[in-house]
Amino acid sequence: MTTNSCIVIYTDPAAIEQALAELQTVGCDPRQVSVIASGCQGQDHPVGMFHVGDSMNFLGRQDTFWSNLWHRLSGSAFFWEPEFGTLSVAGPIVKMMVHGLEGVEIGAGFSLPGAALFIVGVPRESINEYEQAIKADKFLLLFQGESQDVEKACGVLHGETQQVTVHRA
Amino acid sequence: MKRDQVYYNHCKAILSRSPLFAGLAEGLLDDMLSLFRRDTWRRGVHLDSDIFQERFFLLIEGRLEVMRINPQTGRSITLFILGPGDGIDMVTLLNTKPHEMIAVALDDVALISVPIEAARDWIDRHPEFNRNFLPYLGEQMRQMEDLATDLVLYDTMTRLARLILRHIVPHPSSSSEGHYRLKLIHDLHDEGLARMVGSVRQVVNRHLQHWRKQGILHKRKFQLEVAELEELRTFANEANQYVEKKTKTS
Repeated sequence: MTTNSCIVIYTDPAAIEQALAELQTVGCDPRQVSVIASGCQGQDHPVGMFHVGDSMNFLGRQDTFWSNLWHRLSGSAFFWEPEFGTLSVAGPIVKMMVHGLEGVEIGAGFSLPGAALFIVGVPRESINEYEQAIKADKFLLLFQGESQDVEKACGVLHGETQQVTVHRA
Repeated sequence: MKRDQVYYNHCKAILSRSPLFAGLAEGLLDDMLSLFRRDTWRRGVHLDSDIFQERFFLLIEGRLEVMRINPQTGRSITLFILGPGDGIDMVTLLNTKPHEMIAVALDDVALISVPIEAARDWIDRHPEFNRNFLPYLGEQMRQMEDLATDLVLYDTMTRLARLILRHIVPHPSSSSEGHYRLKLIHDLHDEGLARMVGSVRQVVNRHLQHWRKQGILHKRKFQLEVAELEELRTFANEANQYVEKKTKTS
């Protein structure tokens, strides 16, 4: 299930929204985009997910942001993970977090997002860095696909002020 | 790359120790690094030459095997084993001709990369880089010359002895038993070593076992070390003497 991907760490939801808009303008498929973050900022506000009508909704400080993401991207999940606490996830990486973890040692070696990233093809050292970013309330944007798709996405997202890392597996 | 990142400083430290960038002004390195992005390749990934026509890569962590394969027979030869601080497929910086090669990640590797045109432009704008670039290319040409010479003039045992000697760590970083450590090839399997000397696994394995039995080589924690350097040099020099003798008689 390993593939090519590029990952960007953002500090706020607005930057993710902007990145998604930029990807769309160059014709990148939103079904190839995933976002992972804690989803819970501070402990003074209830958080959760709920289903009303046809759509999955987020309850919490970032409700509009996550509800929109879950609507636009192909996958939605809200986990509680011992190491991270809450994890809010959108996009195809959800499938890997839920169904693709056979053979990857969760707990002893990997966290839930770490295992999914490992399956995607991210090396261990980079996984540690991404895990730290999630714990620091940052947002991971991951684009998966064929080499040329990843290069196209990277071309849009990478800049002097924004670091993108391309992972090949 | 963003300057404020830990990884940026890590890259700078690795590159400033490498022959390609050692002694360059800090500002020059900063200027260069600002153009780069970060890449990783999982161990075992094969990349064909197309990508090296588009981007120029510098290795930051891990090792990479650069080889050519005969698609008809499947036979392959290793041209270089590259390590941290090395550039991949440096000849693409010199001209735009297609270059036939395959790169295989021997470890999980961390790299930085830049569009090839941006790398060429940067070299044009900074001729002072040539003080490092040209000797580096010269060393790679010398390695190719050694490989070609070994393949044509020497038998497999001599080629293997010469290969091992070329990879001995030059500094006094011998192990506790006084054995000599190897760089880049220390944990390669016999198949990998065979690709470096134009032979096959079985033949290389036979020679290695012979030297191990004689106490010339030693394997500790899956890492090859040289226990008897002078003995190994004798195997490497035997063919030299043979060639010299033959030249004198002809």
